[in-house]
Formats: sequence, structure tokens, C-alpha cells
Amino acid sequence: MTDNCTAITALLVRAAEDEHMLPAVDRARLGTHLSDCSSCREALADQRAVRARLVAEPVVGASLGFDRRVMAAIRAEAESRSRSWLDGLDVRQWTWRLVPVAAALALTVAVVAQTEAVGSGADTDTLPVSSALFSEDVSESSLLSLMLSANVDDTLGNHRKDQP
Amino acid sequence: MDLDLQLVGKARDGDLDAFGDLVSRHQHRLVHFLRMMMSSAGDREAAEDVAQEAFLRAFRSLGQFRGQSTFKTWLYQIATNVARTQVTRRRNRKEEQEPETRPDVPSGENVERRIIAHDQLRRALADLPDDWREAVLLRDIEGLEYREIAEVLGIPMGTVESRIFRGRQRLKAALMEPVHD
Repeated sequence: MTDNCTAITALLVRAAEDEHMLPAVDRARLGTHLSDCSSCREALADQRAVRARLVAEPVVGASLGFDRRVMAAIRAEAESRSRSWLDGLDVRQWTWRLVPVAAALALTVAVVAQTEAVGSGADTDTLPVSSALFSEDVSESSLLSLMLSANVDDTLGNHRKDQP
Repeated sequence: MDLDLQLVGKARDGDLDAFGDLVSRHQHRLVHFLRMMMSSAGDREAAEDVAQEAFLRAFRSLGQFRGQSTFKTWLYQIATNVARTQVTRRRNRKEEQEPETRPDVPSGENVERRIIAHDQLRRALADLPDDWREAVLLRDIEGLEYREIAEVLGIPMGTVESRIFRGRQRLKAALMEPVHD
């Protein structure tokens, strides 16, 4: 008993190109079927003829300069992509994200400026009493006295006046 | 490592010249395949438009190419999809007219006979259902493996074999008619 012709189709397709593409068991199976089936023999001949015709078709490829035109479009695309990355930055979103960073920077600058003012020997009378914390000239005992007696809103100048 | 995969790696890192090498390596066969695929369109310009679009889409999607298939298989998958859209669009706009220009054939041969034979092939391919034509061309023109064709077309291998069989059988009747001088 031979295989149904439909089941042989896959073998015919490959055998039309090269019978040795098929495993030996399939070659044997195909051979057995073809020995009894003239329509499949004819189908195999047709498959081979059409494939030979297609394979023989000359390759007519791209025209001169095609690759240059393609790459010009590719480079324009790449350039456009890099520009849009910058344009795509959401300024508002980034402004909100940077506010805490800016505030921290401002505080740092204020503290540094105060420290430098205290250390530079500049007129300290107008400085708030809290600036004594950053002064290298204030002894520990003086600092303690200051903390215990001074009003938060006082300046150093006023505090000194008030002291006996 | 496969040369195409090396070039893809470099192109992903921003080396546009590497992508240019990929274009050079695949342009001729891709345009040839697309001309046969879009046989009803007939002219080289339409095929080159599709090929250019396919290369552009491949460039945009380089990050998605994982190397599980060959670059050629991936590129042809993209090109086939673009060609299908073009063919459908042209068909809907009823632009299926006989090409006025003569097809390109190699010089130095029996030019008239080759022109007639080429035109016969073009008509026969145009009469095939799109999915049969795709499968036959990918195998018999481009030489892709059956497994690769299944991947390009997104169908099982058994379906690939069936479409190729039917496509060749349908072509046989049209192509085996004698070419008249």
C-alpha cells in the first residue's frame, strides 16, 4: 500500500530541488509512491521545470546610487532622532524635579557665606547670635553662655551690649 | 561570528558605515526579490521604494533584532510586509496597468526573446495568490531555507511546503507555454 498523494506533497517539493535533501527513509517512501503514481511523477517533473525556470531568471538588482540614496535617508533619520531627543526634554517636569536640589544648594551657599563672614573678621555685630556656632574665635564656655542666655532673634552686637 | 551580525552590532553602537555595509550586501538581491514579488507593479522604481523603506524600518528597529534569525531573514520579513502593503494599496487604487517601460534584461543576449520570457514570468507571478507567490520566490529566487521562510511569513513549515507546491503547479501552466518570437 502506498501513501496518499497529498501526504507526498512535502516530499515532492523538496525532491524537485535535490532528492538528496530528503532523508533516506523519505527518499525510499517517495520512490515507492512514484513507481505506482503517474500523476505524482508528472507533478514532480512540473515542480522541477518551474523551479529551474525561476532559478535561471537573471538577477536585476538595484540601480546605481541606490545604496547612497538609502544611506542619505538613514543619516537624515539618525540626525533627526538625536535632535528630537533634546527637544523632548520636558522642561516643566525637570524644573519641578530640580527645585529641592536648588533649595539645598541655596541653603549650603547661605551657611558657607555665614561661616566665611564670621571667620573673616568682618563686622560681626549685625550677625545673628546663631552665627557664633560657626566662629572659630568663640570659646566653648562662651558658646555655652551664649546658647543659654541669648535670644534667638538677637544679633551678636546686641547680645554683647546686654552682657554685663 | 556571521559578518552581518558583526555589522548589526556596530550599527547598534552608532556606526552608520556598518549599516551602509549591510545595505550594500543586500541591496541587489532584495530589489530583485521585490521586483518579482510586486510583479504586477513591474518597474524597478517601485521595488526600490519598498527596499528603501525596508532598510529604514530595519535601521529604526535594530534594537529589537535579537540575532535569533539571520539578518537577511529579518530584513526580508520587514520587506515582505512593506511589499504586501504596497501591492494592496496599488490594487485598491486600481493602478495595475501594463508597465510602459521595457523590463531590464542583460545586454548581449537575444534581447527580444528575453523580454518576452520575462514578461511571461511577470504575468504568471502576478496571477498567483500573494501568499503562494511569496513562498515560491523566497525559496526559488532567494534560496531561503524552509525554516527561514516559515519565520519570514509567520506560518508553519508544512504550510510553506504546501504554498510552494501549489504556486509552482499554478506557474507551470503559464510558464510552459511556448515563447513566441
